Amino acid sequence: MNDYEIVIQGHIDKRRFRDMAEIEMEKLPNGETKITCLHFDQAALHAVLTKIYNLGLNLERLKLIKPTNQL
Amino acid sequence: MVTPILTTKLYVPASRPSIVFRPALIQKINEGIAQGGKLSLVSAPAGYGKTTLITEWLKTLACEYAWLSLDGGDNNPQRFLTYLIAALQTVDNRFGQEAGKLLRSPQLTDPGTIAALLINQIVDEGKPIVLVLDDYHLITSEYINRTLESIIENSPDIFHIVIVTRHDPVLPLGRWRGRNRLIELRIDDLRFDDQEVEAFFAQTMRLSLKDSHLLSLKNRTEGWVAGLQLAALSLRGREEQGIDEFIEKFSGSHRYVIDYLFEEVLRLQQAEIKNFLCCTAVLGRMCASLCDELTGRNDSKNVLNSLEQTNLFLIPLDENRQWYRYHHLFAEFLLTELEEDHKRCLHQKASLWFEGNGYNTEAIEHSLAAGDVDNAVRQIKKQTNSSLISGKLYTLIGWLDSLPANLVNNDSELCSYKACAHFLAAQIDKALYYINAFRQLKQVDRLNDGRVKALEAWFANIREDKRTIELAMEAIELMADEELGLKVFALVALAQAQRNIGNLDESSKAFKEALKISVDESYSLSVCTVTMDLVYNYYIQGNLQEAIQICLDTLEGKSTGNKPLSAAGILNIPLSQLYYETNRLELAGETVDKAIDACRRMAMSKIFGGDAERTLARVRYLQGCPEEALTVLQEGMEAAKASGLPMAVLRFEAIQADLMLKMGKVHWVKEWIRRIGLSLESEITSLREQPYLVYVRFLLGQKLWTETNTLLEKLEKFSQAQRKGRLISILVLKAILKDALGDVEEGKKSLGEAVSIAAPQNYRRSFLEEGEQVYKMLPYVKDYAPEFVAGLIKDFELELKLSAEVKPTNSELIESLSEREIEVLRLVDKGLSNADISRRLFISLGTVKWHINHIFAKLGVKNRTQAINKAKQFEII
Repeated sequence: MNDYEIVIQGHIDKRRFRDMAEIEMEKLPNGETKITCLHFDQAALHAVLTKIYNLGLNLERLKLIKPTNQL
Repeated sequence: MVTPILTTKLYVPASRPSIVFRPALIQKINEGIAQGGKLSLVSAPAGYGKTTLITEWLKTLACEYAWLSLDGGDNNPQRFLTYLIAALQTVDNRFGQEAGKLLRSPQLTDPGTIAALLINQIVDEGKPIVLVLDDYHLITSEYINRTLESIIENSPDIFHIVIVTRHDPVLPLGRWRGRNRLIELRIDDLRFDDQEVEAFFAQTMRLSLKDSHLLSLKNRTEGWVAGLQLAALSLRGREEQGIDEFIEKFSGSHRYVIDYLFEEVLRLQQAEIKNFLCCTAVLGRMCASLCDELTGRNDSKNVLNSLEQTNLFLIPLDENRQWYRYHHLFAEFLLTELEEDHKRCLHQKASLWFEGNGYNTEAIEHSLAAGDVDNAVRQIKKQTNSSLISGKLYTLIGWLDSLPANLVNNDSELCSYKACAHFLAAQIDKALYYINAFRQLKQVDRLNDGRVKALEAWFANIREDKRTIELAMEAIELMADEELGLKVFALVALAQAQRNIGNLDESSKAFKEALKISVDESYSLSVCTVTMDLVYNYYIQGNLQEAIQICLDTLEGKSTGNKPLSAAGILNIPLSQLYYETNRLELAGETVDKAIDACRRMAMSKIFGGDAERTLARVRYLQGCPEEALTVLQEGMEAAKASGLPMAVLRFEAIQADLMLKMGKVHWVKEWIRRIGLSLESEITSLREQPYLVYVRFLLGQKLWTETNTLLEKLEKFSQAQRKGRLISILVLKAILKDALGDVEEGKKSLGEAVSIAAPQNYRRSFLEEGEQVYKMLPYVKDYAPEFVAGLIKDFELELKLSAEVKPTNSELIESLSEREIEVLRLVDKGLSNADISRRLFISLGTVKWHINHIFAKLGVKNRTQAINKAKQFEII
């Protein structure tokens, strides 16, 4: 299990990811949207990426964040 | 049972009038094909006009084309191939008929076999064809990717495949790119340029916009067609001022293009249309009546019509405008408008509608999507019988995998289906797991028990377990006239087990019943494999001539309306062995080549574990190439090991040991006998008869008379009643023993008995294999069958004097070269190397060398140049 931060181009309505209750979305001032996935395994992460691709969104960055409890 | 085919998947999507024509892209594909491109890959995210482009390109073609729209359910080899065949049959309904039958056989057919058959047929027809696979990104199966890779690698120039996909398929694209085999259209090729944006708004959307607006829209959408279309829908009906405002706001917004535009378009729809769109978005395909059911309306036909006319991302799936689907991207956004509970409820309604209208597959898939386990289980049970024998095995496995594990493990019916499906899909470990799970359950009904027993019998037979016969008979009785596919497996297990203990009459009876079912149900691969087994029985029983006739009839297709089954070529495997027995060595050799070729063409080399190679090795040995014979055996042994059947390996070892013994390697043979545990006390079975005969020859050579006698008596007892064909070798060996012991009369009696059985059927190698001692005794048994014995004596003389070269006369020379040898000689004349000839004639390198050695011997020459000169001199070539 890991925490990931995904950044996509443009601002996106939260409803587009309503079937993925476990993610957090934040609109960034530069026009990007940050999606935070906490405690995701690889399979769950791929589901988010697939969703992003199916919605025709453009992936900008994907980052692994170390979980706080392991620091 | 024919798999229900959704014909809408095979239609080329209807194209809209006034679409933007894209000549540069079409030219790129055409030029790529002219330069040898075999695969066109159109790879870009949703909404870039991939499908539309290919639809337009097809319209410009002079040749015929086939279309297949894939969906997630096609992600299993059998269903994928079933649809692939159906798609090709829209071009020519003869395509894949045989392959289709194979798919419906309850056999562990390799998808590669089916792919090979299809390609062969396309080559034979010689008609150029384009095949489009739309939405290939839904395919993740490694098996399908490999099958497609082999199709593309081996396909002739007249066959072109187009893959339309949202992401690159797992195929060796880099390799094909390097060889100019790949034509690619990617996101940057597909973006609309300035002219195309202008044409799109003017022609397709009938909107006249200022140049500056067009430029803004193109820049904001980056030429993304779906974005441009949504923008056009938002602009429709606006005054000039409204257009200015919209474009200014859109250009300045941080919102993602599609997100912004989708909302805008939806906002412009009436509430009831918005509701219609969202409710029907759960459907993979829709018709008016189904939409009525989901939306509670009664005018869905009109709504669908008007949606199509307003370009609202609704794609007609057939010419009659009966079935539609939304553009995937649009559907994806519409779905996000629905609450989860609402979505589930819609899936449930859809499931019941599909079930009520006879579309069981979609009914099950919607039940599973709704999380409605009860309905899913009910629908799966209703559907399963036909899934097991049609090309939907992996779909069934997929459905069962979607159900909670403890539900499946505690439901005897589901458990039995799962065991059968995994078994038929050759997933043996999983099959065994579910057989075990099934046996843990207390209450099982007749048919479920029968199914599982059939599998248990099959596995018991492989292990040579004594319970095989009992299990198989129970399974057959429990299944009665149901589950015919599995009944064939049970009958074959029964027949093989009966043969193994020497009950040939019972064995043949069961094989005949299995054959009848296979013929009646058109299980074409079973027809061939069961015939092969039956032929071996006839050979063992002493009906050599009948065995040969059955092979020839099946090869000619006599029992199947004068059209040979595609798998009939495997009958060359037993036929080569039968020819070998009659001492027609050259014919046997040629038949082996055909057998190996058939196995290769059908990608079945693994299944038959090198059966043909054993005959090849024996023929080679007699042709004076012992080293090569051993190499062939070694190669065949590897194939046998890959088949995972220990008995297949033992069969090779028996022949290897026999040849080693003939070559005087006694210590090797002694060690082998010890290693595989042959002893005088062990029980004789059909599968171990050959090793025991080698043991007898070894004991004879060691002059261990008592031991030889004990073993021969056991072997004779085993074969006395129902194994007349195999009794011959035993009687011949007995004659040798008696002669050696000085009991001349007994020796003659044994040999005479052997001759009496062999003569009417022409069993010859059973004598010749035992060597010079038999030759010396033969004149004393002439009276039993004078003509036959005279012929045998001649055979012996030829074989024993093989080293003494006989110079043929010219006419003899010409006659003595076989057709195959002349064919090889012609290729030698063309300057082809042995390796080239091997590839050209589909025969092994060893076979080529063998033919060439014979050509040299027959022509009395030492090298290729001399051979060609002599052949030309006598006008052979």
